[in-house]
Amino acid sequence: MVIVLGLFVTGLLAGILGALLGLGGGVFLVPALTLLFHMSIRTAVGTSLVGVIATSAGVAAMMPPGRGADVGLALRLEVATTAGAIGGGLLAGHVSPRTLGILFALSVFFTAGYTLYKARTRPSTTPETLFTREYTIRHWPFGLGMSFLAGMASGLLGVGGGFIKVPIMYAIMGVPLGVATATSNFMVGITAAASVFVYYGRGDVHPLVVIPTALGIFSGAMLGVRLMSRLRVAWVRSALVVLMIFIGIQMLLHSLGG
Amino acid sequence: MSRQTEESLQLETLMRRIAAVVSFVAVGLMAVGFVDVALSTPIHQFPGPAAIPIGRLIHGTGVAWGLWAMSAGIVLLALLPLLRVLLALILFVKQRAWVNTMAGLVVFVELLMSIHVEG
Repeated sequence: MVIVLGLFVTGLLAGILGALLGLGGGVFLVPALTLLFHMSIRTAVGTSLVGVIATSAGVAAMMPPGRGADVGLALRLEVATTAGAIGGGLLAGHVSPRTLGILFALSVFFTAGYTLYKARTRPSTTPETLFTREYTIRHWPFGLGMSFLAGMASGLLGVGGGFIKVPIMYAIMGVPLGVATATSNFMVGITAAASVFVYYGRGDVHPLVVIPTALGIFSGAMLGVRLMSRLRVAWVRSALVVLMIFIGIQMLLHSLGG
Repeated sequence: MSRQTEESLQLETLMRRIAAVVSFVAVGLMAVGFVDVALSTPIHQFPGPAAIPIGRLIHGTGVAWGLWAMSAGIVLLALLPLLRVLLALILFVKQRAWVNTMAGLVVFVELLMSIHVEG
């Protein structure tokens, strides 16, 4: 019973953070399941993938009208992400995961720095809103290229890539932060759905672990959507930058240590 | 409001409703199945049994009800992104937004292929 409750609470926290920052939550769930609950990495990833879909579904079900994902943008970027994942699979035998981990950590630091730079250089006369329908998407080639890299990292390093897609859409492509998080939530759901059936078929999805976690995530995602309307852009942006720096340091240490 | 924006908002509303219905049915199935298993046998071994393969899930023969409900809930939730992409595809065809249609088609085929691999 304690384990069931622990899984629910872990899921709840992952769901809240996932909904607020446009992540699937796998970046928190996999370490938590392996380190705190001593699950095998395959069970942890299988559970995490269902959890990512639960976050995506919870956000989609609760988002008020006019605050949903930019579906066209999500699908176009998802094509690049998928191609990147295939490319990553092909490259796996030629590039060392250590080199790729270092490159990826550097790109995460660059994106964090660029997000902060954009926030500081933004004209103070134009108030920034989380959600708006009036925006023009810029730098398509760069956005697609970075989505390709995020997909490649996803295939090689086992990360979802939501934490890199949100800043790319926000800081580089000019998408409002709220729309970027909703779009990222939609995208990570698709990416997870593409992998979850493979884990399901291999017997790595265990309902007794998945269900308390997924119920927690679903509740957390719904709570996160409600919280979002009370948050300021600056808070969400700061949380995202802190998370990127944390993940970047983790990746760098892991790569250098490995 | 332009026709395209109006249609996008309609898609958003439809997607939200479908996501809500499918998610709540899936979560309901998972919760009911979990309670059924917890009441019939004390849960003390983790991670426990694996989810039922999709083929056996469809036939449903020789499977404990609780495990069937939990597995069906998980599969239903996992199918939701596919359904959302399909809806988007239909709208993009209606809007004659061909670049988005092509992108949606690629993603849709990729998702179908991933289910086929499992099957």
